[in-house]
Amino acid sequence: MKRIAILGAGGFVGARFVEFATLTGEFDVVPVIRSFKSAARLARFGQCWHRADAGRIEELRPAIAGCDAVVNLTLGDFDGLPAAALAIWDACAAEQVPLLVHLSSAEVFGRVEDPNLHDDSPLLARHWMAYARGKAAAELALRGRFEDQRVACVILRPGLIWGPRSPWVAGPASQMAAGKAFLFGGGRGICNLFYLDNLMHSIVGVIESGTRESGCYNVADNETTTWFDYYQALARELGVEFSTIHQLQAQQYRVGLLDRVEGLRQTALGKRLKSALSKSAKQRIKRAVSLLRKTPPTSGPVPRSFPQVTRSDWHLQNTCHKLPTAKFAKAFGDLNRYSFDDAMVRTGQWLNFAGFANLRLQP
Amino acid sequence: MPKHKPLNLAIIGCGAVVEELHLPSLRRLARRGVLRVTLLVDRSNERMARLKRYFPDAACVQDVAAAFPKPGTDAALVASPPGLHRRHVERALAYGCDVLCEKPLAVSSSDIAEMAKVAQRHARILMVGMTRRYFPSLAAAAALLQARALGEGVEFRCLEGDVYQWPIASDAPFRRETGGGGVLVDKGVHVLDSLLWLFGPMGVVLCHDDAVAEGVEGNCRLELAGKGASGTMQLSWDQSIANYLWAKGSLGEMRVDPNEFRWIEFRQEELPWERRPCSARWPASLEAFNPKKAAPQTYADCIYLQWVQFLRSVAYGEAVPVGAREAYTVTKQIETAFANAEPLPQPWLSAEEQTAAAQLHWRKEALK
Repeated sequence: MKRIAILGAGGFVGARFVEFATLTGEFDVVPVIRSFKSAARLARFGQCWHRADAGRIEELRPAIAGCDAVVNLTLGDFDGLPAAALAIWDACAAEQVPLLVHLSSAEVFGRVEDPNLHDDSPLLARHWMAYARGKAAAELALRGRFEDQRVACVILRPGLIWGPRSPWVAGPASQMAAGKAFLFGGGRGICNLFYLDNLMHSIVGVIESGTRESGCYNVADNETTTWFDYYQALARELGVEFSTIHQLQAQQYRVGLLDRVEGLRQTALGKRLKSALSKSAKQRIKRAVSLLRKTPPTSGPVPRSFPQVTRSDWHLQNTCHKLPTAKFAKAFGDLNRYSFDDAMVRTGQWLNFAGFANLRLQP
Repeated sequence: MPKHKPLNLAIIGCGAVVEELHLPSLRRLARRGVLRVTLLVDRSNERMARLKRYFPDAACVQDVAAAFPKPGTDAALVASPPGLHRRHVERALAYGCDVLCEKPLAVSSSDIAEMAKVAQRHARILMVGMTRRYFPSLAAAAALLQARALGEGVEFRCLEGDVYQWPIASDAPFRRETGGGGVLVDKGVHVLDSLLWLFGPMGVVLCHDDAVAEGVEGNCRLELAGKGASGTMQLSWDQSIANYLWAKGSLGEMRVDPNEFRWIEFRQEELPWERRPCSARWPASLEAFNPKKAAPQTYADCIYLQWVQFLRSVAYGEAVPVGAREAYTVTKQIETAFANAEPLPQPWLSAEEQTAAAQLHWRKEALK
């Protein structure tokens, strides 16, 4: 049985790995987390977890010793991603772990606007999104180790990871329930989705293949899905009238308060402030920011809700093309076990469990 | 604030809950000359040092046995891990301190019963930190229910869940032997207390949770039933689920976002939904008569008002909103839930995983 270390096991993808391994016994999993609070997602499995900072080789080494592969799902400070990726590679080399699977993001290309984009196309180094810049920088750092035969490094680039517990499901579901969901340009943009379990089986498949080749691969569901398709299917599972989803013009976007706040949060000063402020100070700031907005009525008929659009929403919903994934299929085969429809049925079951289905909060 | 002799306070357990939640209120009350933090107790010197920056006159001791007797301590905030609450609370009470204890008061109902006896024997206040009693949204919901605006045969559904974010210093809350359970103990104490407050006495009819092997539940769903109301309570600390309280009776329906402090929503029968403002206010000063009252706007305000109530209870013997009796009732229900826990259906998993989750369920493992 393969022994696989999951770095970032406290995230929703990592926790799914631990769940799958615990319940199926298909592989021996070593969950690795950075802080105690991340153990919350693992607590129900009764597994032992290791605490290690992915950026510290000496902490990582004992956790990954004896593993057949390391899966890097960590997502800390975006600026620190390249250094952490290299530290993980070095720890693998030191412990003679032959394979590192590194989860990157399709966003390293920006949104897919070029129909000729391929897996080895140049990365967008000056992306407006700090997350994407960090992911691209981490990839470039790891590519520098591709020639080193000690550790094979497989970089996977999923688009939006969806399915039970995904923020890409819970977010739209909350918005639909509250009457705040929206689509740009009739939802004609491509939604580059990757179902959580398809991702998991792809990673397991890479490990099972015993590859010794490093490489970068785009990964996605097999279907080409538009945002219209995705929202229509979600709305059906939720029991929400599709007509309640706000329709916005494709170009109807201007930088709003949320984007400005997010921009400030990503600056060095913003990060320092965030870590220095107490919980109550943060609450007071939030309260002060909310007072800047128009005060909503506290009595009388429940007012109609309006969407709160962010640059990220606008950016993603205007994607032109499907992420090409032929290189992965050629190297490892089609490892997507779930079709979009199957995956949506399962997601619908989760939405029902999580209380989003048939929850119409609008008047 | 009135002219009272400042209350000398010991803080037992100097972890995240004190630093993140209580510190602003304690500093505010200290600035007003209402209380003085005179003693810090924690096994970690580092944690005590962090608090001592704000309370430089406080003495620091690592063991609660050495903390009492320490002359001149009037009251104690017990914020140590729940498994230690009984020992710490009883020691403080026995020394003559009034006690505000963080939730859960203890991990077993028998412990709570013993703690209540000690408080009674020493004629001391034992209050449980149950901040949600100061949530204006829940107070507004309670007022609606009290006015019977929903009518008879009330059904409710309460969901609360998000990814755990507390900056804890150990994994004690995630182990049954130290935390007493998982999300049901952590969040459940709050939510059950709120539901029993709102809907009156109820018992646990069914409990489903997702813990396997030696794990603790990250998700649970309880069915509750009582004379006037019945419904479900669902909690999570490992995923974002819908967060709301909904209730419907023969005359009306309400929906409450507990964290929205400004309004709740209500409708009579099938009429359109309308907002009802939250208007509850609580004493915010220590005058014996006609104290200044305030409506909290943030969670931190709720904690402050809870401290004011504790001080008023100490000064004037006013009843505490949540004491040992309420904590006992809630803990008893949690014990019933655990004793009857069954595997949580998770139909989105593969058939193989669903079977394994049922076979590995912690109750089955515990009974082996």
